[in-house]
Amino acid sequence: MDRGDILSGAAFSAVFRSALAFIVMLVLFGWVALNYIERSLITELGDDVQQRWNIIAAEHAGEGEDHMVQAISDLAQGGTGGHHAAALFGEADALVAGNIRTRPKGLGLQVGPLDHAAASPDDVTVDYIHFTGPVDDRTLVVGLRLDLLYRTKVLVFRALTLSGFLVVVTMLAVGYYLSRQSLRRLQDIETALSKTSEGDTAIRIAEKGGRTQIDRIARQMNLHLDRLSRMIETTRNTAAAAAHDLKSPLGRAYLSLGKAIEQVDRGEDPDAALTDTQDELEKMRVIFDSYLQLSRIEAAGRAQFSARVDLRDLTTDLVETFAMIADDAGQSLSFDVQRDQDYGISGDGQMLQQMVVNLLQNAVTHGAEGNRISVRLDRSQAEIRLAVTDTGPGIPADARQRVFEPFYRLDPSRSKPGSGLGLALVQAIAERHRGRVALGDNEPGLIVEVVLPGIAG
Amino acid sequence: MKILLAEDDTKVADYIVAGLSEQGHSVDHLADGRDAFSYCLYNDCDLAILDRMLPGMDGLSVVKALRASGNSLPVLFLTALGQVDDRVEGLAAGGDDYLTKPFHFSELVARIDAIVRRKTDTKTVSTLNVHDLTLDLLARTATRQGSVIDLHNKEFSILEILMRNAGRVVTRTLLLERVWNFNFEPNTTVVETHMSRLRGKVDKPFDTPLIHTIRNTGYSMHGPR
Repeated sequence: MDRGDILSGAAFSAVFRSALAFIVMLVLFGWVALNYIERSLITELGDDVQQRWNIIAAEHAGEGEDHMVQAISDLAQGGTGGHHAAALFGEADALVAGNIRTRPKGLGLQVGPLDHAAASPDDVTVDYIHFTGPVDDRTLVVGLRLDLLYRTKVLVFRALTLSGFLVVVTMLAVGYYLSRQSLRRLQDIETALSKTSEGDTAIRIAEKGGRTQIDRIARQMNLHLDRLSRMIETTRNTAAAAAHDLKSPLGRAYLSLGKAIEQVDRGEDPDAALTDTQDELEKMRVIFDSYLQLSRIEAAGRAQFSARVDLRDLTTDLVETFAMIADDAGQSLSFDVQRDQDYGISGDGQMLQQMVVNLLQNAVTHGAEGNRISVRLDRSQAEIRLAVTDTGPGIPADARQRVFEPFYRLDPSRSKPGSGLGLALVQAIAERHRGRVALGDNEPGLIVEVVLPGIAG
Repeated sequence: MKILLAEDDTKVADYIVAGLSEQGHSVDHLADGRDAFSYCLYNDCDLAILDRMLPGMDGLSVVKALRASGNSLPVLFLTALGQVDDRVEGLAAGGDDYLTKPFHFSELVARIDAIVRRKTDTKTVSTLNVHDLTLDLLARTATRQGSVIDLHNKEFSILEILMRNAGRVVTRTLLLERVWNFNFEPNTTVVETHMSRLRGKVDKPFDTPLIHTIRNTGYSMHGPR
């Protein structure tokens, strides 16, 4: 997996931006916090220094100068590394006692360096907080080195930096991981799509069953691929079946034409052979016409029809015609229509006529002698139902979906007449009129039911 | 009769020109739509056979332009576009009939006859006669040798078309169009079934058959020759 792709992934770049924002916030808040800590520590230490000064000054007032000098020495020697500072200066700022060599300028509480007798351990000039004030004719200075403040500041700074670093690293790691995960899923999708476009209809995107956007997209795409592969499958079958159906009459036409040529050569009458040739070509023409028509109807979309077609008139007329055909085939055809209903639909009269012709012709063609065909027309609310029922061989349940595919035939030997486009056309025409077709079992026989939306009223 | 044929498929055109000339027509052939349009404007002819898809100007536009200029020349469309919509479009534009490729030559002849007769033969008749068969169009009855023949609606329509075209070929397609109003190939034996019943009524009881089958094409009605 390309690292660049992962780093440019949505998850990683979102995390990366959050991390940047986090660092900015951390610096800002850290600075404020450090300042606050410094200020409150200085206030506290200042109080402390002042208190010590007061105590030493009070020694002087109560016990005399010697006591005070003693207290100063105690304080100056107490602690380690010059942590405490105390000194008493006499006239002309001469050191009387203590560990500060030079008297600091000014009076009162100050923060700044002191000339301490003991150098700071790491040789760094360190600030003191110190209080300078007169005690009788002398000047008393008490100070406290600000190590605590600096140590605290360093600690806080280190803590902030370290935790900030850890947080940022963790964030980036998580972002990288997420980005890698989603990139992997996206690559699955990409692979599936490119394989599909190369003609592999079986490939599907692995579904993880999650609820992320990618999971949802994967599921949607799989559904889409299901539909697509069904369509590709149907188209493949259709093309193969069409080629097969066209090749047979073409082959027969070749044969009979060859026969006719031989007959001419021998001086015989080629009439019968030529007629056969013509018959075969005619069959091809019918297949081409029906197939063209089917594609036209399917491609036409669902534009509104402006004409009103009365399905009862149309069916009555066709039933009359087909009753004779059925009669000749030793079959019967009956028509039953529910009265007092409006059978008007908006549609194309020619298409609907063809739809009903195909239904009736199918019933006659596939039924044997004695087949009873009944046509029923009724309307319930907005739906008009046309049912054609026969007592013929029917269609097995597992083939009922496939018979709507163009050129699909139940009888693989194709001994029955027909283009194999009849039901495909019926379905295309019904759907073009916002209707549907369903096949059912008449036990024995077939029920074909076409439901079409009637004109309201 | 003088006929203009506008067709860009040379093989088809040669075939039609040869066939129609054999029938005694004089045929001029053009392969371009614009040429066909100006030909119709400046030459006298009785019928134009136009391909729908022509270079220069398509057949539909030629007819529209002709009709717009007040020309009422009979036009027969000849085309590979055989769908209902195309047909309706072609007739709406001012075409007189519409024939889909591939077609039988006899179909073309029958259509030409029908168009030209429709244009010239305007007088209405109330009875039709072929040999000893009489069809009364007003009473809607058929009689032969004095006996009345009982006919269904469709049978009557078939007989009427056959008798109006007595001596000429009436194709199966034409019957499907005129009797059943089918503008598609129904893939059924509708015509054959009705024709055999009609024969059972019109010919069988009598000694002279009047309805003759023209193999692979259609039917023709005539008395003994």
